[in-house]
Amino acid sequence: MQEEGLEVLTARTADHYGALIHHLSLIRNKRCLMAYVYNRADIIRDLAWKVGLLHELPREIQEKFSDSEEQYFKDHSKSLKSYMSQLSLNVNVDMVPPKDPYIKVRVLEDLGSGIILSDKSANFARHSMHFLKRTDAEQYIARGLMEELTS
Amino acid sequence: MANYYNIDDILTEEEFVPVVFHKSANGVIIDPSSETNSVEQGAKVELPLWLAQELYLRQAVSISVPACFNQKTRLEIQADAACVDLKSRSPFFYEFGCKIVPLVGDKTVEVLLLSAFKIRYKEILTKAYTAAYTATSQFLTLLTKEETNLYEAAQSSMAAFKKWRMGGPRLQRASVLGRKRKPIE
Repeated sequence: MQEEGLEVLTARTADHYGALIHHLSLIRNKRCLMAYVYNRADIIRDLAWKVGLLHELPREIQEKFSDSEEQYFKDHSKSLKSYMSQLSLNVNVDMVPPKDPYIKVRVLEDLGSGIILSDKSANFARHSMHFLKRTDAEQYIARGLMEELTS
Repeated sequence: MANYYNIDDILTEEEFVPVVFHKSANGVIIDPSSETNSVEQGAKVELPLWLAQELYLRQAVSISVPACFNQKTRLEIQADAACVDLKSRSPFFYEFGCKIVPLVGDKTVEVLLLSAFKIRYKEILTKAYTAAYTATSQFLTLLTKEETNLYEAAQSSMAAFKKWRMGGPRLQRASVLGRKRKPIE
């Protein structure tokens, strides 16, 4: 048996190397595809963390998701939310304690009226200025819907 | 395993190296100009690094020094390393050289890489901290990907320092949304 094994090893023909090159090419293609999907998933996780859990993403980004990526985004947001609610701590916000709990913002996009914030309900028309609590304003600023005024 | 998914690593391994085949291979079209779809023993072909590396481990090829490390580049680096256009040779000059070293029996490549990098690194740091936009844009086209990363890191740390000093808006639009994307029609 062992002599037969040795014979197989030394009988590597040209076909063997051709098959080897095909096999290596397949592995290479697999690696490229895996890296592509992995990096996309990385960006999706980044979006979920920074832009806001389960909020509406801008349309240009949302339409470029594949179906499984949309599901991934929703599942990731859900697990982050359940984690935060179990801790009853919002780990999403800015880590530096601010000097002032309120912040002046100007609204950039039309958000409609009657949005309920933590201490009042406000009417966000375009170009209106508001004096909001920092934690509320933060999610809108991160999505680019408002900007901070540092006058 | 950290390199498996890393896109820069994948692109580094795409660079071509000249190899000489020791064994023949059937059924593959490596040399586009040959009539038969096989490679003969002793043929000289340009293969990408990932393929050349695997075949070298299985002792089917022998690898020689790639074109971007040839004598012309060496002379240019010895003359003035800061002005050599490394990006046109290969945007992954340094990583490529690092991967080549165990495969090719040439000791001078390491010395070359190290000396070039030392001189260029000094230039990168000085240019990053004293940024005058007109002069640096031409310099940036000479840098490899690795050097560009260093340059951008230096610039962003400089901008962050200025912002901390001057006190800009603390909360900002998320950077991951930054790039304008075209909507699908």
